[in-house]
Amino acid sequence: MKINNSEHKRVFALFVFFSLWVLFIAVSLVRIQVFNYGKNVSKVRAQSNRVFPVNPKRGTIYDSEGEVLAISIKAKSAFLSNKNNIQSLALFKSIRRQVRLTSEEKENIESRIRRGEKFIWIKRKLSDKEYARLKKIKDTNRSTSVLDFIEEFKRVYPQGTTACHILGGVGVDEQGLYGIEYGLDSTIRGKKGEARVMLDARRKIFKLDYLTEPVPGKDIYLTIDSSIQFFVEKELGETVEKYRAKGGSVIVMDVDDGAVLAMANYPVYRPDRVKYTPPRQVSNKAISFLYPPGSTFKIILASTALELNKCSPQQVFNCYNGVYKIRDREIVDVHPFDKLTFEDIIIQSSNIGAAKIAEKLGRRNYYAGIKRFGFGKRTGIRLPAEERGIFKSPDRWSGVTLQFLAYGYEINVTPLQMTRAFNALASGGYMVEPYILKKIDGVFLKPKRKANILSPGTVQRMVSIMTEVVDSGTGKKTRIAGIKIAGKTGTSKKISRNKKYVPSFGGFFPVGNPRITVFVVIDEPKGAYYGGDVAAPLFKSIAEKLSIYLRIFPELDDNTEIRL
Amino acid sequence: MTKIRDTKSRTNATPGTGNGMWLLVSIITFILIFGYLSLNLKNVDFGYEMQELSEREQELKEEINKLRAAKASLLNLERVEDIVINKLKYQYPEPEQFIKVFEDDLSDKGDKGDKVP
Repeated sequence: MKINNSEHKRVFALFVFFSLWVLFIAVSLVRIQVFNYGKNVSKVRAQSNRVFPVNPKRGTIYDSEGEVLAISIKAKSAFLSNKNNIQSLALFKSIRRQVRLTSEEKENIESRIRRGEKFIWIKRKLSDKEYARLKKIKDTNRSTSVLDFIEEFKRVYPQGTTACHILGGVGVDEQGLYGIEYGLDSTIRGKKGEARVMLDARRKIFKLDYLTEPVPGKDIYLTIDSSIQFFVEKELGETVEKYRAKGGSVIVMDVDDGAVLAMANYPVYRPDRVKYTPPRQVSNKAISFLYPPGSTFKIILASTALELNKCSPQQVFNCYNGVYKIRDREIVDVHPFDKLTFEDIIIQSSNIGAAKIAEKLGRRNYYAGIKRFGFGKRTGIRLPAEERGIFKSPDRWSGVTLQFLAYGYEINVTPLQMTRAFNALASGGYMVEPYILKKIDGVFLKPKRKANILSPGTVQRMVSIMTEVVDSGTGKKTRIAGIKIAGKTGTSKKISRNKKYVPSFGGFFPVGNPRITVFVVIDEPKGAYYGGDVAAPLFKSIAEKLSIYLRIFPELDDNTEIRL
Repeated sequence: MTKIRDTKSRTNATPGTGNGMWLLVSIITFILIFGYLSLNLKNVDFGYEMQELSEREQELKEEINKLRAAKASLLNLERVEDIVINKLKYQYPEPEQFIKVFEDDLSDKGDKGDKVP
């Protein structure tokens, strides 16, 4: 084929044109990819890359048997993207009927729409039903304002109110507010991560890289047994309601290692509604309620006196026929006695007798004895807001403090401190520190060391006296056929114009081989108010159920009738 | 002679061999570009697939969580007690109604139980 000159010129022109075109492209590429590299890369990243925080899943809380007490699941939160106030108000009108909102919340949303705010939360953490209803509205919405959803974690408490005061609760952003959720927040919450996603033109994710991996919260196992916790709460609730009391607390503790099997308070609340619950109702009274322990404190006095050999069980004390004047004050016994032996003072719960024992014991000895039982300092149970109690040093005692302390006044204690003291007698004279955390992230937590505070002889004598309290003394209403119980009643009067009392009962069983210590306290019952009448029957009903549940079988006589 | 030489040189400049070269370069370039693009596309496809799988994995994990929560709610003792007492009309047994028959029947919980004569 021949190419003439003009054709040659045209081919050359075309070649030059394409060459220039290629050169132009090459120069553009160099300009884009070399000279403006940084600028363009950041532009592309801004368009297709998204970096966002990744919230970690909060750890699950289990009871000692592996039952779920608190778990986090994903839930949708609804928000309104307000582009037109009138349309948004119309849209909200259809939304408000489909979700549970308080009238205050509804008004707040409407006023925010009217103010022209662009992003407005409708409701955080919707229920499945609410989400389904709102999804329909979203799909049929034709207005410029948009109803949309964000996925968040939602804390669920499947056991309802069970163990509510131990668990506490979390806020709307999953931050611990009360109880173990607050106390161990940093452990349960985990650490936030950061992820970068790459989006295509349709805004679909095609690549996800973790810049920082989120660290999920650690799972926690408590020593609480939810079955025991449940029936203890139920029995406590019935007693509080029966006596129209202000509240009450019960602690159930394993004698050997101090594991708290139940810690119940009444009134209860729903942990998932904690932010709507008054703080007074949320507080864990078992560790924060300060009260004068009354006659239950006589076990501290008696143990110290026996341990220091200041008294013997058969020693007789003058009880002044029910009224003992000391300085300008009077100590009174409900049932007057002329003279009582040391052990009868405890069995009959004589205040005057106790005051006489304290006088024999002396200030320093009694103070040291009380300190040995751990009063005046926290138990270290790792629950927030635990009180240390109020216990003055001897240099601040008045002329009657020693005698008043003998029967549990001029000192304020928590129910948990009293449980620990009773448990010292149950465990053969060893102070066992109560604990509630069994396992964190699979690692067992060792119970603290036991400290020996009483000799076996003292313990034996005290247990025998406390068994007599139940068999023939003030604690008769706790008796269970076939199961020996050792305990002590207490009734203390609050400093108030009206007569307000705090009855209590502490004890352990079975006496032969103590396994469980239980302490019961009721705050301001109406009508009956003695520990033996109000707290003792509650102790009995709890002990009955515990004996069945823990298979503590009654030692029945041959004559005992068995009902089937 | 000169004319003949000119003709020869023009004949040598015909697109024949030159075009072949261009064609070869074009094909190689095309293959390279095609290969590069298809690899990139495959990579992106894998990205989508992995994203979908990881989303599915998350969904399943979440489903397990929800089921665990639902199971715990169903086993809520308040609910169970309500069914047992109100629907099935059962009652709490008295402690005396429990009789230990065989020592071996006890689980760990009962090992420390009091002995019945």
